[in-house]
Amino acid sequence: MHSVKRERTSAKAREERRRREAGKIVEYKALVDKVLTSRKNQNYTPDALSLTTTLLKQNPEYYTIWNYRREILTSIFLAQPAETIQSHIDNELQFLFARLMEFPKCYWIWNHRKWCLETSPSPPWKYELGLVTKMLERDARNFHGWHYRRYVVQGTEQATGKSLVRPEFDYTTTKIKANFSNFSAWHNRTKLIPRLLKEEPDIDARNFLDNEVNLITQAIYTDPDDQSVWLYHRWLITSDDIVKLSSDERKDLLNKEIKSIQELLDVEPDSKWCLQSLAFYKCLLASLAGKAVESSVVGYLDKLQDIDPMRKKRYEDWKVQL
Amino acid sequence: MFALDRHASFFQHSLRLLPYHYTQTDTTRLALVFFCVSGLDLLGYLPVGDRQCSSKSKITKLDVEHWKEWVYSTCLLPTRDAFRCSPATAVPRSSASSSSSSHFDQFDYDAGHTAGTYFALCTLIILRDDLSRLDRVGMMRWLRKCQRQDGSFAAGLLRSKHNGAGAALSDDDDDNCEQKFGERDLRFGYCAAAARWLIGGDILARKKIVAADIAFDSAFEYIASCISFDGGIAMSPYAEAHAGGTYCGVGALCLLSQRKISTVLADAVVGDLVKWSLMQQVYAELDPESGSEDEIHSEPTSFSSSESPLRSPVVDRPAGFSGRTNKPPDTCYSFWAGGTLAMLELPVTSSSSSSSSSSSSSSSSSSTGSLRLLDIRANIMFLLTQTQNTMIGGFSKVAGTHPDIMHSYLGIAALAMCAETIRQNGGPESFVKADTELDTIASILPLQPLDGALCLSTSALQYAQELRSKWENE
Repeated sequence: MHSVKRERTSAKAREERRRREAGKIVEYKALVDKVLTSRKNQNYTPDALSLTTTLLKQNPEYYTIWNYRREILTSIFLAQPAETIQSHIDNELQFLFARLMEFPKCYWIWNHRKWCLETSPSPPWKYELGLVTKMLERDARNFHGWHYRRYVVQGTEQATGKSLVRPEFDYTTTKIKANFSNFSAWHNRTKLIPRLLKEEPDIDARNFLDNEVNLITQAIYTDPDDQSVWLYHRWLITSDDIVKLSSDERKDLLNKEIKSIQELLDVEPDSKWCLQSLAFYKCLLASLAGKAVESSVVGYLDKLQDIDPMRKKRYEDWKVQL
Repeated sequence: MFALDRHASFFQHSLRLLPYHYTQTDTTRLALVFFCVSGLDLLGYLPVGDRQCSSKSKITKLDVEHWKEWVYSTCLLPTRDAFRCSPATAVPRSSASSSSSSHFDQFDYDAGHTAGTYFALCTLIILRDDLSRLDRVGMMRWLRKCQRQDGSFAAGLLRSKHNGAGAALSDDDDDNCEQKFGERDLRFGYCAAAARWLIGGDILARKKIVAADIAFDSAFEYIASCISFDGGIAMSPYAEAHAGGTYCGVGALCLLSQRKISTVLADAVVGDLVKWSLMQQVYAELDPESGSEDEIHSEPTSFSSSESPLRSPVVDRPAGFSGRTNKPPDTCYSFWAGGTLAMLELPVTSSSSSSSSSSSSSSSSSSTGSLRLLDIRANIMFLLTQTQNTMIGGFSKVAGTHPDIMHSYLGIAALAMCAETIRQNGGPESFVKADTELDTIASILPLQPLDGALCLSTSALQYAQELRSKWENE
């Protein structure tokens, strides 16, 4: 009985909503017609600009309308002094900021912002870096934000002639020290380190690597359940992008890390990441040394099948391949 | 239980009318049509081909013709060499202006779109259209023009107003090139690779009917430049590894290499991709995150679930796929990660390898690649109990939100791959923890098998292969 009652109400509610929506759709379509007719008639006036504002507020994904908006602005900017243009651009940036608050992942909004920077007589790079930093505070995983950050960094570097790789690297350090479980910061670090080492040849790469390993070890001991720290550790230990190690140096490093992780495992015997990493590094060590894989690895994989049952078949496969 | 008929109903209703909040996806309407049509195909509701159609289907052959015509209405005329992504961008031209030589006067915004072209071609193939109305040679040329110097593909091309139809656009420096537009990421490389295969572009190039093929070396280099430190592939260089980016990268490589991935990817890289994809399977949380900022504004929908699977012991919990490290599971990633696994085979050493058949052979089965390595049961449970909407049909992104077309289709596509993996690996009995689960797991078996690389049914794939044979012998 109860469910029948619910059915009736929701059918009625659905019909209500349908009617409201039909109205909204008719309104939207009328607005679109108006805007497209305006463009067809080559209307590049401030009124036309307002029309696009209304439409873009409703549907920022309609990229054709952004194109029209840029045509209008370009027309308005013709033969205008720099201050007038800058003032218009500043208004655009304000408008876009509000749009981004509502739609932080809409490509066309970020794209129009770039156009504003490129059209601006005096692009506010510093302000933009501050803005994108704030956006990334709201959502550190928003890749539109990260793209835009790289764009702003590049723009600033071109404008000032100075590389920003060191400040950007320090920014990731700040993020990491605030919270070790910050995948975006670790990820960006992997992109910045090779460039940093290239631009600052005075840095002793091996020393740098050792410092990074110390940092990540702290992170692992603090947050042994976080995936991102283990992935970063693996990259540090195995990558050639930081410093090219000789086979012996690589083996020494692996042995050192295996010992370190073993110590952690003693304290956290059910740590999936400890077990997985030990298994991986011991296999790698074996292949580098041209020896058979240590028998302890089988034990790790057996244990992993119990504590990480989702990936049971993967561990089974791995065992067979030993 | 899988609510097959509800989902068919959801797709059919969607094809007729969409609620207002879909205005934001208006510019990708062709994607929505593809999702609905292909969804209906997987559910066995389309009266196409020689396969038995569901007796509950009210779709007629007239509907099928109507849908084909609708797709063709988005084709660029008179060139017939590309499709728009939506009728919304078929904007009227502004009259030729007098003296200004600005960028806006040279180009026409009524542009072809790589993703739109891929969706259109797939939809037409599913509906058994033979593509004879298209200028396939022109389309191959158009696809080549979309490729940038760095190997990536553009979302689309703005047509030059002043040049005549079919006039060759110059190969400008990609950074200043005004003809190419849109986002710069792997999605369009995948769409271009798929479109090229569907129109037999490789055949045209081999037979020198078209002057050249797309640039393979730079395409591969671009994909390689998107590989991230953790072994997955990002949407673009510098970005985080992403299940969607990984699918697009692997899919493009698969289709460009004629499904011989081992010729273009080293075993170690394949291994990393499989491991990365498997790593994305994560347990659903007890309090799932409410929809992220890009969720279409919607009301939460109540759907019945007799007993919450989240109260079971951890090892029995549902587990979907996340799109990136440290993110919660979302319906669509069951397809993106699953599809990647379907296309990749680890070097066979064990006796536990599946009896997966070569993907280019029979229509009744499909290659499931490394799908057997994931926790199929937990994945199915996630989709059926967390994001399936049994009241109005469809699937939502995460639990407690409204179903939408994309997640509905990709959820079903993921289940279709799971169904095939079950069929090839001992049947539903091998995948349940208790007999009480047998009906639930088996309820997905009526789904048509899906080709992971192209994301359409294997019967549609077979039709595409028949067309290619015909073109090969012309």
